[in-house]
Amino acid sequence: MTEVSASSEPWRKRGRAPTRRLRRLLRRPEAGALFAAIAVYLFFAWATRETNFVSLNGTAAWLNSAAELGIISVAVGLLLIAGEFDLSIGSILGASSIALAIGTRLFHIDIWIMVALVLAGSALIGFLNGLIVERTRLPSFIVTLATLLGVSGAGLGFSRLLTNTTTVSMTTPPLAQAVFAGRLGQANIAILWWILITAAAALVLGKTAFGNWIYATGGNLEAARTSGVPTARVKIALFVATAVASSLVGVIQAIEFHSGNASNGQGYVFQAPIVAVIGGVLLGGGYGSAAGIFLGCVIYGVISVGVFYTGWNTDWIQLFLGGLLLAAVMANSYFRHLALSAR
Amino acid sequence: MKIIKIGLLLAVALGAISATVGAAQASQDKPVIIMVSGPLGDPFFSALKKGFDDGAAAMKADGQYSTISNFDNVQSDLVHLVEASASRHPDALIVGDFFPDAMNPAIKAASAQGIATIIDNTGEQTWQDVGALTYIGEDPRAMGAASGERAAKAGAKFGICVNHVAGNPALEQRCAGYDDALKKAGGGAKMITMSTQDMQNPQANLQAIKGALQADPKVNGILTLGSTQTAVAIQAVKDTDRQGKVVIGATDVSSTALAALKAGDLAFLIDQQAYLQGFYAAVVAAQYVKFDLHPIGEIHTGPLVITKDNVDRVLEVDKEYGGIRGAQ
Repeated sequence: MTEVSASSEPWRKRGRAPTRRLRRLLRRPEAGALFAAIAVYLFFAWATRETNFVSLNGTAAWLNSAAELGIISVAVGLLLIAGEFDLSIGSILGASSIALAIGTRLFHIDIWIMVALVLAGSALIGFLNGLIVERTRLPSFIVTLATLLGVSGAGLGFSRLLTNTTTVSMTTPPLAQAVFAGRLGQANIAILWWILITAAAALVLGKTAFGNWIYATGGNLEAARTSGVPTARVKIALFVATAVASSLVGVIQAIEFHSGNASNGQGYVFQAPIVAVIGGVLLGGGYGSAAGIFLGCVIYGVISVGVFYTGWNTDWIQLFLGGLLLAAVMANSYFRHLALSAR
Repeated sequence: MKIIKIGLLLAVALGAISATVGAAQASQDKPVIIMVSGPLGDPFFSALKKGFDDGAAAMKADGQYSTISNFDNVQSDLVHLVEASASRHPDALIVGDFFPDAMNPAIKAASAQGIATIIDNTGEQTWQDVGALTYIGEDPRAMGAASGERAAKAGAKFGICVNHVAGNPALEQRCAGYDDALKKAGGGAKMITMSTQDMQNPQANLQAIKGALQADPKVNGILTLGSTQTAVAIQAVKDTDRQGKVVIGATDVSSTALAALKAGDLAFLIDQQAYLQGFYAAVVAAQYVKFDLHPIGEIHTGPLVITKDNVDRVLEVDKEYGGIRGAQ
């Protein structure tokens, strides 16, 4: 569109293109998150100017935190766009990490086989989540709350039955260590996983029919169904994705910290949807972007790690996050309004 | 909000169901003892429950451990759990008094009903107020002080105390005890508190401790109060290139911590012997119900100091009897 007047009125293009580009940027779902991320980063860069937060290692610190949250949040965000919740991610993460530790240490099963088993098992739980939501038409947060409790209970029960405890240490052969918990300086390979998965999600959302189906399923379910979108398949696939993503983080954490713990991961149950919403995903579905979710995780990582670099009283961290969440959601709602009214 | 509310309702409903199912008749032959304590996701409480189960089995009592499944609403969940347990009229009720202000009225009501009440693990300051028979557990301030003295002896002056359960008075007292002892050595300690959701997230704990080390180059001592935090504190010190300059101590025994002690990464472990807290509580409860006998005053199971010098025997036990010392 901007190419039309390229030959006849070059002055015009020069004068208008930047504002048009800016306007187009402002209409993107991640616009609010982008400004929030920059503001938050600058604020913490200033507040921690004497404590190495803005150094290679300081950057690795918040990226490491953001990456593990990010891998889960991308999947959860896509599911939110399709109009569903998944609370079971918390238990799936813990169960995966303890299963991996028990399998490799107690039963001496090869780590790759164990990782495959753990991911496949989690995919099955995700599939069941999707199937039950589809078949019963019950709200997904009730269904996945049941799975959250069930898987968490099973994880605790089996680990205590087999080992009398809920934390089991493990050692990992070098190749698996490199793939799941490799380090460059102090930056974990999880950051790479996070970026790749986000890129894949952006590609799916933006360039494929499946991406359109996700928006359609969450935007208007009935309309999508009548126009031939396989909404059941979309939802089930995304439930599998959230389960596998949280299981992957369970594997990564177990290998990185040399131990599995059945109660790891519960914090992500709310953190993952929170960062998706900070990143511009609409809680009711139908709206959002992978880049936005990515930025949401950046914001969360910078704040939750940055606070400790300031040396301030850490009691305030939750207040900070609460205030930020409110500000981000309000900014998002403003930009969304802008986007929809300009159409 | 809706999700949280429904989640809570469900959790409370599930708790109530599990509390009423299997409500046994009180009988002197097989006394019913209910213990309300911390969540089993924490290996510390795993060991405590193992002790309680073994103690109840040894005394031929019917021991039932009940706990919360998460920390989202920990104070009222614990109060409800105490109330639900008391309403079943067990012969004895053992409670960890983690939040005295919230929990004491419910515990008092239970002991006023004639249920033999024992305070376990936490509540050294409050057990007499609620009409309990005795207190079995640590003196948290003494645990903290012992940690601070050890740390100071190893050269630490300025410490950070990692509190992973925001609002838990016992952990705050341990930190206060650590601070007191370091102040005597001419320094002091600062407490950092993990947010409730991140308590069990190793990555969040690692980055938090690393941040606190970066924020204050003077820091040369760390005290951790949970097993997840101990492992990552060692990593944090390595990542900030302060190995050998920071004295790390811990108050929660785990296999990882024991191995770190042997390797020299950890300077000392202050143990409160969770297994004994569970075991003794079951024994005291059963003996009181059966024979009307009980100890006078408190039973202290800590602080027991483990260092490089006596770690080998502890490791042997850990290998032979998994879970009694904490994490595997």
